[in-house]
Amino acid sequence: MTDVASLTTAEPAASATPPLLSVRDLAVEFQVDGEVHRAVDGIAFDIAEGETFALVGESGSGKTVTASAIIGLLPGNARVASGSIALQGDEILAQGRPTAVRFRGSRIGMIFQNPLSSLDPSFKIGNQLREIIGLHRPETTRRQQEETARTWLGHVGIGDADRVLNAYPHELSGGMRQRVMLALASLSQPALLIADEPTTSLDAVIQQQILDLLKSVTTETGSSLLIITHDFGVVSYIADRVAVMRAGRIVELDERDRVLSDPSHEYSRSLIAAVPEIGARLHLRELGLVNRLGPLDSLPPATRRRDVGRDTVPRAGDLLRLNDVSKEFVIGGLGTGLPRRRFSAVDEVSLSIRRGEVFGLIGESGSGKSTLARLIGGLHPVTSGTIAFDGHEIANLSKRRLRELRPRFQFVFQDATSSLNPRIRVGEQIVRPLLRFGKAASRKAAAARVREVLGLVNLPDSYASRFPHELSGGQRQRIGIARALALEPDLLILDEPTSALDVSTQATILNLLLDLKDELDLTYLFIGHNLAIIEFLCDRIGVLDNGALLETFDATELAAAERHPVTKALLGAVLPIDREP
Amino acid sequence: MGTLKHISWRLVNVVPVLVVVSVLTFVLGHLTPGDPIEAQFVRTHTAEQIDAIKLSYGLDLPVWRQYLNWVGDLFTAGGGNSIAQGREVFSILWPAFVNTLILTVAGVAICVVFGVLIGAVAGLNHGRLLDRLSMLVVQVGSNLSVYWFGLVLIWIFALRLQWLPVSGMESRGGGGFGDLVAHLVLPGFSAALIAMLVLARFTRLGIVQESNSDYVRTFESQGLPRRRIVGKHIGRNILAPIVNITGLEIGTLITGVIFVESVFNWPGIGTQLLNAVYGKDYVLIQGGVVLVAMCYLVVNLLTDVVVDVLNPRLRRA
Repeated sequence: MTDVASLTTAEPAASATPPLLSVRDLAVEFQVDGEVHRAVDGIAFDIAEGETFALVGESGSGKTVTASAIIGLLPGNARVASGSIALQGDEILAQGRPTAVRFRGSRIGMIFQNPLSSLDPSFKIGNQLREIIGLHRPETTRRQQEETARTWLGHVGIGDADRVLNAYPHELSGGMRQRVMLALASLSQPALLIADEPTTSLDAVIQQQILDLLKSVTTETGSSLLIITHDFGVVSYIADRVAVMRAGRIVELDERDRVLSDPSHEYSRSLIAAVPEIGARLHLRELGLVNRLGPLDSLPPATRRRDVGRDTVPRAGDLLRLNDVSKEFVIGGLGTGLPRRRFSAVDEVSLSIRRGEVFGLIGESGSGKSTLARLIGGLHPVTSGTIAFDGHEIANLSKRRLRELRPRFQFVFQDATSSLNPRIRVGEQIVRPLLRFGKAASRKAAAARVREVLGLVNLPDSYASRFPHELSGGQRQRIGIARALALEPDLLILDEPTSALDVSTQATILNLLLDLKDELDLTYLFIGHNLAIIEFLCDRIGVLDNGALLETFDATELAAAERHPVTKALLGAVLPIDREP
Repeated sequence: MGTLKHISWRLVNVVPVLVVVSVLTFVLGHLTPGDPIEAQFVRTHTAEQIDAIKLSYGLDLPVWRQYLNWVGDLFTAGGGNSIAQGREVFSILWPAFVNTLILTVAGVAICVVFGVLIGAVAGLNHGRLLDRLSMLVVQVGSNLSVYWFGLVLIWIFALRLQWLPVSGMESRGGGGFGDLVAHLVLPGFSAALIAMLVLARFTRLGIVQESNSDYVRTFESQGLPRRRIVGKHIGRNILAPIVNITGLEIGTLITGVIFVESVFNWPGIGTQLLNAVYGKDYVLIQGGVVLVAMCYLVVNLLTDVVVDVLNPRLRRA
């Protein structure tokens, strides 16, 4: 059993062989506006040869700063205050800058979170790969470099290497770009590969492919892998050992199976419990607990019938009914230099959402789910088809009539930061629509309503006078929800409301949404790409692919045999947390 | 293919712009108070004679007929006859225009070389003393007026140090290319000043932004030398914005050149136009304005085309 105090100085020796990477007492300080802030506060860990080591934590925990310190890419306002980092016995920190640079690439490689911007947009993939190959092996000819690049693209599972070599980054998908990044970082066969949230911005199915590749490539090159993530599914899937970080310190460090099955630190326990999992809802129901995320012993028993998910009988009647809804966008045409063509984003979708239910819409990026949400919200005109909200046809309604209906269906957007006006106090942002839609007779009444909805989302009244930048991500999303609720809507359209949030914040927001639904008799349309969240939250699920609605089914029938292959693929891509020791 | 189509579309777009420019120029010319014929002949000619002159210039026709005649003249009759000088407008303007072009090209060259240089030095030393100093110079410089700056340059370099000629385009009797360059330095710098500082600011910003981009981090993580990252990757990625800003700034620069010409007594189109304004020679003014407007359009077109070619996203589709 490891206690926190011993972790800061020395890690118990895992084996007799010397570790590949040894971090001791590492502290990194940032200078912000004259104040010194410790981002990493005395951490220690070893990574053995060939091992996959996961550093887990939420944003601000210091996990990325640790990785930057190892590869020597700390930003200008940061400095290593103390400690040592040794790679194969060579001290990295004590080396002069030139040596540290030489370590990069050749002995330590790194891939990053955002594959879309991690390659130079102005050069072809082949050019960028050749440049790195030439850097590590200056004696090679252009032809040899080209050959090596092709081989490595093969290693990362890219079949049509010629096309990719000749492509610019923007011509490749996110998954493809991450494969190229993996090839770029691995081709020098570094002793240590660091992967900083390598799959966070990718679709679930792609995520699994990339993780598989990380495994196979590091096995092939004999590299150790340091993976940085906030996702315990990823940890469970790939890691050998895990360190859980919080506020610059490692709070728990152990074998993966131990940490997942029996976390010793309170924080690890709460983090793992905050992850929505397939089947969790059923499990909670069997235990007679309320359908919320969190450690089991903290959940109250389900007292009311509707506390138990899934058994709620939605009141009769459809609140929303879509009939053959299609949306086409026109791309190119006169003056753009591009041929004019039509692009079908939503293709003859028919579905209905019953009053009082939570309908989950799932699909990969580009499947048209956000476009569909906008059509339902009356933000885009439809190309064809009808949308009936509570009996009113809204698809091609006049602006004025639509305005009258608008308060009844409200949006909560994915990016809470950019969907709030940064220069207006949040209270005022809730007040304005109230006055504009005539939901409040006076400013005074509106202010009272603001206090009310802030209470609903568990924020104190005083927050009304804050600006968005004075709030955390989770608080901003609460404001987003409060703004939507203030208008007393029947339907809340939730467009990936938690995908930009940390796991624990996500859990509190999801719990809040479940509370509010019960309290206010709301109907939700929840859009997401994480099937585990959808399954946990929703009564019925619709699967969208390439603009078409493949199927809708009751959430309990997710695992049924007759599910569409795409649904099965989405289900297969969910990385479960393996709790069996 | 896409680019070619794009360019031809831009070319087509130029036509309506030119029509609007010509109408505006014409209307402005005719709105200015005062009659050029009367101003010139009222003391020496009788009213009948003046009317006859007006008739010969077609000034008795309705305004829209006058406009059409003038547009026709632009294409066939060298922009019509100057009221004050009696010669074809374009044959008067052309030599002056060439001189202005020489000064403008010199200004653009100075603007690009020094603008990018100052911006690059500041950007690569972001946050350090050198950066702050250059930005201070840029701040102060941006607020100088072209007139004043030109006079100060003359005072320092021509009068006190006597390194460079005071004004004009060539020494008495002509002096070849070297002489022309010597005459170009001071007016070139005065004309380029503001545009150069704007360009410096954008170059600095571009370098700072690109330095913080993810792809730079990728190459840093591979140990690519800083020199190569700056020279190849950052350089290539700020090229398009630099071209863009330069194109826009050439417009400012042309405006500046017209002032600079009068300070340095440069025999360019600005001097000609100034004289034309004094003489209310609106045929000449109109011709000059259309000529300058054409320059703007050509520069904008070229800028757009180059920026498109530099952007791989637009190169093929």
